[in-house]
Amino acid sequence: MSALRNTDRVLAWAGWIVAGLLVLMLFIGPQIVAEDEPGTDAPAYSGDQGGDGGDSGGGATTAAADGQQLFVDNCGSCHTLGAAGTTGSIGPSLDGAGLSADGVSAIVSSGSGTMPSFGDSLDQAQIDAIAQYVAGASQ
Amino acid sequence: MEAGTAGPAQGVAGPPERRLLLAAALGGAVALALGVYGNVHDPSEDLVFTLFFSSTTAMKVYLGTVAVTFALIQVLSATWIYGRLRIEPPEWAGYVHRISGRLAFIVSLPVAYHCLWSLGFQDTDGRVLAHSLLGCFFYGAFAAKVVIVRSERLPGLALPIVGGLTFAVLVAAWLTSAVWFVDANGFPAL
Repeated sequence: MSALRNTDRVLAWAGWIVAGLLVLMLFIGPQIVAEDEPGTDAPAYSGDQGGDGGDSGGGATTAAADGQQLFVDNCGSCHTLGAAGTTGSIGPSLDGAGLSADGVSAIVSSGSGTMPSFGDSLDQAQIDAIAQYVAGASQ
Repeated sequence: MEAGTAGPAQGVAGPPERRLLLAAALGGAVALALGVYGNVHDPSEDLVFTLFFSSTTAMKVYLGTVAVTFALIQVLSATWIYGRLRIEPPEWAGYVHRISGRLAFIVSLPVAYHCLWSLGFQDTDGRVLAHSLLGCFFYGAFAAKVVIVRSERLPGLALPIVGGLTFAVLVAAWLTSAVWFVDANGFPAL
Protein backbone atom coordinates (compact mmCIF):
# COMPACT_ATOMS: atom_id res chain seq x y z
CA MET A 1 0.00 0.00 0.00
CA SER A 2 2.84 2.37 0.76
CA ALA A 3 4.26 1.70 -2.69
CA LEU A 4 0.97 2.79 -4.24
CA ARG A 5 0.89 5.85 -2.02
CA ASN A 6 4.43 6.81 -3.02
CA THR A 7 3.72 6.19 -6.69
CA ASP A 8 0.65 8.37 -6.41
CA ARG A 9 2.66 11.20 -4.86
CA VAL A 10 5.46 10.96 -7.41
CA LEU A 11 3.02 10.96 -10.31
CA ALA A 12 1.19 13.94 -8.87
CA TRP A 13 4.38 15.97 -9.01
CA ALA A 14 5.45 14.42 -12.29
CA GLY A 15 2.18 15.41 -13.92
CA TRP A 16 2.52 19.05 -12.98
CA ILE A 17 6.20 19.13 -13.93
CA VAL A 18 5.63 17.58 -17.36
CA ALA A 19 2.64 19.83 -17.97
CA GLY A 20 4.65 22.90 -16.96
CA LEU A 21 7.55 21.84 -19.14
CA LEU A 22 5.32 21.38 -22.16
CA VAL A 23 3.61 24.72 -21.62
CA LEU A 24 7.07 26.29 -21.49
CA MET A 25 7.99 24.49 -24.69
CA LEU A 26 4.89 25.85 -26.38
CA PHE A 27 6.43 29.28 -26.05
CA ILE A 28 10.17 28.70 -26.38
CA GLY A 29 10.12 25.75 -28.78
CA PRO A 30 10.81 22.04 -28.52
CA GLN A 31 14.61 22.22 -28.29
CA ILE A 32 14.61 20.58 -24.87
CA VAL A 33 13.41 17.22 -26.17
CA ALA A 34 13.21 17.47 -29.95
CA GLU A 35 14.11 19.53 -32.95
CA ASP A 36 12.55 21.02 -35.99
CA GLU A 37 14.30 19.96 -39.13
CA PRO A 38 16.18 23.02 -40.38
CA GLY A 39 14.82 24.81 -43.39
CA THR A 40 11.56 22.90 -43.54
CA ASP A 41 9.40 24.95 -41.27
CA ALA A 42 6.55 24.99 -43.72
CA PRO A 43 2.92 25.51 -42.68
CA ALA A 44 1.84 23.59 -45.73
CA TYR A 45 -1.77 23.07 -44.71
CA SER A 46 -2.42 26.51 -43.34
CA GLY A 47 -2.74 28.09 -46.74
CA ASP A 48 -0.99 31.29 -45.71
CA GLN A 49 2.02 31.13 -47.96
CA GLY A 50 2.63 32.93 -51.19
CA GLY A 51 2.89 30.66 -54.20
CA ASP A 52 6.48 30.88 -55.29
CA GLY A 53 5.91 28.17 -57.84
CA GLY A 54 9.31 26.56 -57.49
CA ASP A 55 12.70 27.63 -58.75
CA SER A 56 13.71 25.15 -61.39
CA GLY A 57 14.86 26.11 -64.85
CA GLY A 58 13.62 24.81 -68.16
CA GLY A 59 11.25 21.96 -68.90
CA ALA A 60 8.48 23.45 -66.79
CA THR A 61 5.70 22.06 -68.94
CA THR A 62 7.11 18.55 -68.84
CA ALA A 63 7.73 18.80 -65.14
CA ALA A 64 4.15 19.93 -64.59
CA ALA A 65 2.82 17.03 -66.61
CA ASP A 66 5.01 14.56 -64.75
CA GLY A 67 4.11 16.22 -61.50
CA GLN A 68 0.40 15.82 -62.16
CA GLN A 69 0.76 12.13 -62.92
CA LEU A 70 3.02 11.60 -59.93
CA PHE A 71 0.54 13.46 -57.77
CA VAL A 72 -2.37 11.35 -59.00
CA ASP A 73 -0.40 8.15 -58.45
CA ASN A 74 1.03 8.96 -55.03
CA CYS A 75 -1.15 11.60 -53.43
CA GLY A 76 -4.58 11.49 -55.06
CA SER A 77 -5.98 8.72 -52.90
CA CYS A 78 -5.65 10.99 -49.86
CA HIS A 79 -5.93 14.54 -51.21
CA THR A 80 -8.54 16.33 -53.24
CA LEU A 81 -7.12 18.53 -55.99
CA GLY A 82 -9.54 19.59 -58.65
CA ALA A 83 -6.89 20.29 -61.29
CA ALA A 84 -5.66 16.72 -61.01
CA GLY A 85 -9.14 15.23 -60.77
CA THR A 86 -8.46 13.61 -57.42
CA THR A 87 -11.03 13.36 -54.65
CA GLY A 88 -9.19 11.77 -51.72
CA SER A 89 -10.52 12.70 -48.31
CA ILE A 90 -8.02 11.20 -45.86
CA GLY A 91 -5.77 14.27 -45.94
CA PRO A 92 -6.79 17.91 -46.36
CA SER A 93 -8.10 19.23 -49.65
CA LEU A 94 -5.40 21.13 -51.53
CA ASP A 95 -7.80 23.19 -53.64
CA GLY A 96 -7.10 26.83 -52.88
CA ALA A 97 -4.55 25.94 -50.20
CA GLY A 98 -2.00 28.34 -51.72
CA LEU A 99 0.98 26.07 -51.09
CA SER A 100 4.57 26.83 -52.01
CA ALA A 101 6.82 24.40 -53.86
CA ASP A 102 9.37 24.41 -51.04
CA GLY A 103 6.71 23.69 -48.46
CA VAL A 104 5.22 20.83 -50.45
CA SER A 105 8.65 19.39 -51.13
CA ALA A 106 9.48 19.39 -47.43
CA ILE A 107 6.21 17.72 -46.47
CA VAL A 108 6.42 15.06 -49.21
CA SER A 109 10.03 14.31 -48.28
CA SER A 110 9.60 14.11 -44.54
CA GLY A 111 5.92 13.48 -43.91
CA SER A 112 3.81 15.60 -41.62
CA GLY A 113 1.49 14.67 -38.81
CA THR A 114 -0.33 11.58 -40.01
CA MET A 115 0.98 11.90 -43.56
CA PRO A 116 3.78 9.43 -44.27
CA SER A 117 7.14 10.37 -45.75
CA PHE A 118 7.72 9.73 -49.44
CA GLY A 119 11.43 10.36 -49.17
CA ASP A 120 12.23 6.69 -49.57
CA SER A 121 9.81 5.87 -52.36
CA LEU A 122 10.32 8.93 -54.61
CA ASP A 123 13.56 10.47 -55.77
CA GLN A 124 14.24 14.18 -55.42
CA ALA A 125 13.37 14.95 -59.03
CA GLN A 126 9.96 13.32 -58.61
CA ILE A 127 9.35 15.15 -55.35
CA ASP A 128 10.31 18.44 -57.00
CA ALA A 129 7.94 17.71 -59.87
CA ILE A 130 5.06 17.04 -57.47
CA ALA A 131 5.94 20.14 -55.46
CA GLN A 132 5.96 22.41 -58.49
CA TYR A 133 2.72 20.96 -59.78
CA VAL A 134 0.90 21.27 -56.43
CA ALA A 135 2.25 24.79 -55.88
CA GLY A 136 0.70 25.86 -59.18
CA ALA A 137 -2.51 23.87 -58.94
CA SER A 138 -3.35 24.73 -55.33
CA GLN A 139 -3.46 28.51 -55.79
CA MET B 1 -3.65 17.32 -10.03
CA GLU B 2 -6.16 15.24 -8.19
CA ALA B 3 -7.71 13.90 -11.33
CA GLY B 4 -8.25 10.51 -9.88
CA THR B 5 -9.43 11.35 -6.37
CA ALA B 6 -12.51 9.39 -5.62
CA GLY B 7 -14.02 11.77 -3.14
CA PRO B 8 -13.73 15.43 -2.29
CA ALA B 9 -10.45 16.66 -0.93
CA GLN B 10 -9.29 19.77 0.84
CA GLY B 11 -8.30 22.65 -1.37
CA VAL B 12 -10.97 24.94 -2.79
CA ALA B 13 -13.22 26.74 -0.29
CA GLY B 14 -16.37 28.78 -0.71
CA PRO B 15 -20.02 28.08 -1.42
CA PRO B 16 -20.74 25.25 -3.87
CA GLU B 17 -22.17 27.54 -6.52
CA ARG B 18 -19.04 29.65 -6.53
CA ARG B 19 -16.78 26.61 -6.80
CA LEU B 20 -18.80 25.16 -9.64
CA LEU B 21 -18.58 28.51 -11.38
CA LEU B 22 -14.84 28.60 -10.76
CA ALA B 23 -14.47 25.12 -12.24
CA ALA B 24 -16.47 26.06 -15.32
CA ALA B 25 -14.58 29.33 -15.74
CA LEU B 26 -11.18 27.71 -15.35
CA GLY B 27 -12.09 24.89 -17.72
CA GLY B 28 -13.38 27.34 -20.28
CA ALA B 29 -10.29 29.49 -19.95
CA VAL B 30 -7.94 26.54 -20.42
CA ALA B 31 -9.84 25.27 -23.48
CA LEU B 32 -10.00 28.76 -24.95
CA ALA B 33 -6.32 29.43 -24.30
CA LEU B 34 -5.32 26.21 -26.07
CA GLY B 35 -7.58 27.00 -29.00
CA VAL B 36 -6.24 30.53 -29.32
CA TYR B 37 -2.65 29.30 -29.08
CA GLY B 38 -3.27 26.65 -31.71
CA ASN B 39 -4.84 29.23 -33.98
CA VAL B 40 -2.24 31.99 -33.71
CA HIS B 41 0.84 29.77 -33.46
CA ASP B 42 2.55 29.26 -36.80
CA PRO B 43 2.63 25.46 -37.08
CA SER B 44 5.97 23.77 -37.58
CA GLU B 45 5.04 20.66 -39.47
CA ASP B 46 8.44 18.99 -39.36
CA LEU B 47 8.87 18.55 -35.64
CA VAL B 48 10.92 15.43 -34.88
CA PHE B 49 9.35 14.13 -31.69
CA THR B 50 9.13 10.37 -31.48
CA LEU B 51 9.87 9.48 -27.83
CA PHE B 52 11.44 6.09 -28.66
CA PHE B 53 8.79 5.23 -31.25
CA SER B 54 9.60 4.75 -34.93
CA SER B 55 7.79 7.91 -35.98
CA THR B 56 5.81 10.80 -34.63
CA THR B 57 2.63 9.25 -35.96
CA ALA B 58 3.36 5.99 -34.14
CA MET B 59 4.09 7.92 -30.96
CA LYS B 60 0.77 9.74 -31.15
CA VAL B 61 -1.31 6.70 -32.08
CA TYR B 62 0.09 4.48 -29.34
CA LEU B 63 0.38 7.06 -26.55
CA GLY B 64 -3.15 8.21 -27.31
CA THR B 65 -4.35 4.64 -27.03
CA VAL B 66 -2.46 4.14 -23.77
CA ALA B 67 -4.03 7.33 -22.38
CA VAL B 68 -7.51 6.09 -23.25
CA THR B 69 -6.70 2.74 -21.64
CA PHE B 70 -5.66 4.42 -18.39
CA ALA B 71 -8.75 6.61 -18.55
CA LEU B 72 -10.90 3.51 -18.95
CA ILE B 73 -9.25 1.99 -15.88
CA GLN B 74 -10.06 5.18 -14.01
CA VAL B 75 -13.71 5.08 -15.00
CA LEU B 76 -14.01 1.41 -14.05
CA SER B 77 -12.29 1.97 -10.71
CA ALA B 78 -14.62 4.94 -10.11
CA THR B 79 -17.67 2.76 -10.61
CA TRP B 80 -16.13 0.32 -8.16
CA ILE B 81 -15.44 3.01 -5.58
CA TYR B 82 -18.96 4.41 -5.97
CA GLY B 83 -20.36 0.93 -5.28
CA ARG B 84 -21.71 0.29 -8.76
CA LEU B 85 -19.93 -3.04 -9.10
CA ARG B 86 -21.67 -4.44 -6.01
CA ILE B 87 -18.30 -5.60 -4.71
CA GLU B 88 -16.75 -3.90 -1.70
CA PRO B 89 -13.79 -1.91 -3.04
CA PRO B 90 -10.46 -2.59 -1.37
CA GLU B 91 -8.37 0.23 0.02
CA TRP B 92 -6.04 0.18 -2.97
CA ALA B 93 -8.87 0.88 -5.41
CA GLY B 94 -8.58 4.58 -4.63
CA TYR B 95 -4.89 4.54 -5.44
CA VAL B 96 -5.50 2.68 -8.68
CA HIS B 97 -8.11 5.28 -9.54
CA ARG B 98 -5.81 8.20 -8.86
CA ILE B 99 -2.71 6.68 -10.44
CA SER B 100 -4.54 5.69 -13.62
CA GLY B 101 -5.91 9.22 -13.94
CA ARG B 102 -2.52 10.79 -13.44
CA LEU B 103 -0.94 8.44 -15.98
CA ALA B 104 -3.67 9.14 -18.54
CA PHE B 105 -2.99 12.85 -18.16
CA ILE B 106 0.79 12.52 -18.36
CA VAL B 107 0.74 10.17 -21.35
CA SER B 108 -1.61 12.50 -23.22
CA LEU B 109 0.71 15.49 -22.89
CA PRO B 110 3.34 14.65 -25.56
CA VAL B 111 0.52 13.97 -28.02
CA ALA B 112 -1.13 17.28 -27.23
CA TYR B 113 2.18 19.08 -27.47
CA HIS B 114 2.84 17.79 -30.97
CA CYS B 115 -0.69 18.69 -32.03
CA LEU B 116 -0.37 22.25 -30.74
CA TRP B 117 3.19 22.96 -31.78
CA SER B 118 3.33 21.19 -35.09
CA LEU B 119 -0.22 21.27 -36.41
CA GLY B 120 -2.14 23.94 -34.52
CA PHE B 121 -5.89 24.42 -34.60
CA GLN B 122 -7.14 23.32 -38.02
CA ASP B 123 -10.52 23.19 -39.69
CA THR B 124 -9.69 21.63 -43.04
CA ASP B 125 -12.60 19.20 -42.73
CA GLY B 126 -15.15 18.09 -40.20
CA ARG B 127 -12.99 15.45 -38.57
CA VAL B 128 -10.02 17.75 -38.18
CA LEU B 129 -12.19 20.53 -36.78
CA ALA B 130 -13.88 18.12 -34.37
CA HIS B 131 -10.51 16.78 -33.22
CA SER B 132 -9.14 20.30 -32.70
CA LEU B 133 -12.16 21.28 -30.62
CA LEU B 134 -12.16 18.03 -28.64
CA GLY B 135 -8.46 18.30 -27.85
CA CYS B 136 -8.91 21.79 -26.41
CA PHE B 137 -12.09 20.78 -24.61
CA PHE B 138 -10.42 17.76 -23.00
CA TYR B 139 -7.88 19.83 -21.11
CA GLY B 140 -10.57 22.33 -20.20
CA ALA B 141 -12.71 19.54 -18.77
CA PHE B 142 -9.66 18.15 -17.00
CA ALA B 143 -8.95 21.53 -15.37
CA ALA B 144 -12.58 21.78 -14.26
CA LYS B 145 -12.34 18.28 -12.80
CA VAL B 146 -9.24 19.22 -10.82
CA VAL B 147 -11.15 22.08 -9.21
CA ILE B 148 -14.21 19.95 -8.49
CA VAL B 149 -12.26 17.05 -7.07
CA ARG B 150 -10.55 19.42 -4.64
CA SER B 151 -13.83 20.97 -3.51
CA GLU B 152 -16.09 20.02 -0.64
CA ARG B 153 -19.86 19.83 -0.29
CA LEU B 154 -20.57 19.98 -3.98
CA PRO B 155 -23.67 18.29 -5.39
CA GLY B 156 -23.05 14.55 -5.46
CA LEU B 157 -23.35 14.32 -9.21
CA ALA B 158 -20.81 17.06 -9.95
CA LEU B 159 -17.75 14.85 -9.92
CA PRO B 160 -19.22 11.89 -11.83
CA ILE B 161 -20.61 14.25 -14.46
CA VAL B 162 -17.40 16.15 -15.05
CA GLY B 163 -15.35 12.94 -14.83
CA GLY B 164 -17.59 11.22 -17.33
CA LEU B 165 -17.47 14.25 -19.59
CA THR B 166 -13.68 14.33 -19.46
CA PHE B 167 -13.51 10.64 -20.33
CA ALA B 168 -16.04 10.98 -23.15
CA VAL B 169 -14.16 13.90 -24.69
CA LEU B 170 -10.87 12.02 -24.50
CA VAL B 171 -12.39 9.00 -26.21
CA ALA B 172 -13.92 11.21 -28.91
CA ALA B 173 -10.56 12.92 -29.51
CA TRP B 174 -8.96 9.48 -29.77
CA LEU B 175 -11.63 8.25 -32.19
CA THR B 176 -11.07 11.25 -34.47
CA SER B 177 -7.30 10.78 -34.55
CA ALA B 178 -5.69 7.45 -33.63
CA VAL B 179 -8.64 5.26 -34.56
CA TRP B 180 -9.23 7.24 -37.73
CA PHE B 181 -5.58 6.86 -38.70
CA VAL B 182 -5.47 3.12 -38.01
CA ASP B 183 -8.70 2.63 -39.92
CA ALA B 184 -7.29 4.49 -42.94
CA ASN B 185 -3.67 3.34 -42.85
CA GLY B 186 -3.37 0.36 -40.54
CA PHE B 187 -1.29 0.21 -37.38
CA PRO B 188 1.95 2.21 -37.64
CA ALA B 189 5.19 0.38 -36.91
CA LEU B 190 6.34 0.74 -33.34
